[in-house]
Amino acid sequence: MKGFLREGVIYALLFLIFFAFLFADTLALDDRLNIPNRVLDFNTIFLSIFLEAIPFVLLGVFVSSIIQVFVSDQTIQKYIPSNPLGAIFPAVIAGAIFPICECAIVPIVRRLMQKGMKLHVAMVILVSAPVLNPIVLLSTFYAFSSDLIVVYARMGLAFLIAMLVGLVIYALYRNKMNPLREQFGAITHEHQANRSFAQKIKDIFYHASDEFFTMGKFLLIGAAFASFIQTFLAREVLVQFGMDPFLGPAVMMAFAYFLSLCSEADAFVGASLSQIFSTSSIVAFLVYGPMMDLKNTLLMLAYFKARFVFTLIAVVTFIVYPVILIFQALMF
Amino acid sequence: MSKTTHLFIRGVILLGFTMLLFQLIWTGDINRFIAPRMMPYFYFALIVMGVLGTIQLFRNDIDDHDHHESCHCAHDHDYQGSKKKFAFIYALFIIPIFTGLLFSGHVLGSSQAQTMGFKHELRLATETGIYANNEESQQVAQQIEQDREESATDNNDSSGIPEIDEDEVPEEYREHDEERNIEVLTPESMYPELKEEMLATDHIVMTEDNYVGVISLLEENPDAYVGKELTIEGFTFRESDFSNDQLVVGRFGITCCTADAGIFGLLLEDDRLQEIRDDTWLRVTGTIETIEYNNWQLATLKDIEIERIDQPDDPYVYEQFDYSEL
Repeated sequence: MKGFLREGVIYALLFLIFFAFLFADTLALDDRLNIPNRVLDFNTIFLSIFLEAIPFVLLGVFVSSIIQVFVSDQTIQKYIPSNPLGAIFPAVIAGAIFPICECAIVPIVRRLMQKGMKLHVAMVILVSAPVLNPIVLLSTFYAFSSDLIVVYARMGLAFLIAMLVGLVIYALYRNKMNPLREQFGAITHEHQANRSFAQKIKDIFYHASDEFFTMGKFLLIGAAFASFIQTFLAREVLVQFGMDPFLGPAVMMAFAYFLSLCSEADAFVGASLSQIFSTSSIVAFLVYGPMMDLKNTLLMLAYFKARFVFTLIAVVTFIVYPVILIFQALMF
Repeated sequence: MSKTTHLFIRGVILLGFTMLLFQLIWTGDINRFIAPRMMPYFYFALIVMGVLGTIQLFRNDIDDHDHHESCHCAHDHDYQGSKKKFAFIYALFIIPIFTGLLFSGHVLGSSQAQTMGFKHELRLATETGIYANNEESQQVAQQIEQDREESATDNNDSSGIPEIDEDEVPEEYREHDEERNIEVLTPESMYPELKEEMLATDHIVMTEDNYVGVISLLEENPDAYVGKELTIEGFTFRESDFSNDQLVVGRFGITCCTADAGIFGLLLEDDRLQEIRDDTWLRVTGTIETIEYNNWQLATLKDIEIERIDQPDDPYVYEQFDYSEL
């Protein structure tokens, strides 16, 4: 009886969605209800962040499912140098070649780790792929065409920082720790070979939809927070820190973290702030944002233990900040 | 909750997102969230969502022991937990479906413009008020000022060229000029054709396609265009420190999604603007002139004609870059 009731509720939900789908225009609720503009702004920006991420999350989920089903652990092991430190440099190169943004990279990296990729190598790919990326290079080039130092600094420093992150993570954990949440722990898949092709395809779709829900809830929370900051934080608040050599980069890193922009678009936002912030602060914004932001922190929490995620954030933050300060001291 | 219920509600949610994406694409409202050049990704998302939702509804791996044995990824863990937790999680997914279907028509306006700030105003704040009592920063500001003047003279040099007949300029000079443009890609060289057009015509009409370009070129070197007529369309907003007869007419420019929107517009000053409220769409035609506004050289319009217009179907403008021309 109870199950019957529950099904009824879900059918009612389906009906309501369909009703809204058909009659949204006729209802014209935004005209009838007197909702404050700021709330609607919030909703619009929230949806835009979420919608923008959907195709890339789906792409990441599918690539991850395909790796899961079709790529064997041995293949992965074969292509990674066995020397742990020697593997860092090729990992950055791999991150740079694949045009994968920060939403898509999380499920892919998690899958590579399940397939036996070493923790520090996986983290190098996680932080480098979204920033060292051909599309990001082009958009940065367009946005900062009159100030090419920003373009070189963004790519050069990101490369350096990704390697440093690999070193520090290796020094901290030496691969002795499994940062994945229990339910995503090591798996054995030898029997995959026995499954028919049709079964494998079915598996891909089942995995993809499960992962969409695993990641989706974190993505939604992240988008809501980021949109709140976007709608209610007046940019003028930032201005007073603009040229301060120590506060400037720190404020811009925090700003990048909470805005959670796509790495493809953040260059244009950075450029719009370039008059009020020093060059090194802008570089801090452009390097830190793709590596760490609120949206991808929450995506990582979907798969990784919370303690590991916060350690990783601390490691990246305390590498980016001094590197930016040194860059600033050398350049200006 | 049994796994069957979970699969059912997830199927409904996926179909809900499919309907949301379909409605947004069908009505064109998708462009209030996403720049048009991203559209291929959303056709992909629409199809995938539809397929996933349909499969999910008919999914029957509950008793599929074979699947579970082969896949120890323990997705079943996802299905365990308290009722409250699931109510919260599924509400997270369901709310955006409804707010998306019902409020997709909303367009960012003056409230968001004020949060983001008009570029010029931000610059003014740095260079005058806040740093006035800090000697070091004053030097920085002076340096910026100096740089700007230098670059302004540079620009004057190059903008002088079109007055001379192109054919009369020796080949070497022109080549030299081109080389310099490649080295430093200023708005002038990002929109070379637009710049020529703007210099050649007496009446610049701003359209959706040239909006960002025209504003960028005007910001870079307003002096070059003084005396020409210009027609601009946009919504109105005022910063908190504007007087009643001042306002900005502008539009939001979007690169990827609405979260990265920036305001592109012109600051206008006229007695008649006092009656105009924020968020009014206007078509303004006037003669370009520059005003010295707190040490900042801004393009503005004088002798303006003001006409109220309806909000365009596509209220945003999009920054479009042709990567192939690099």
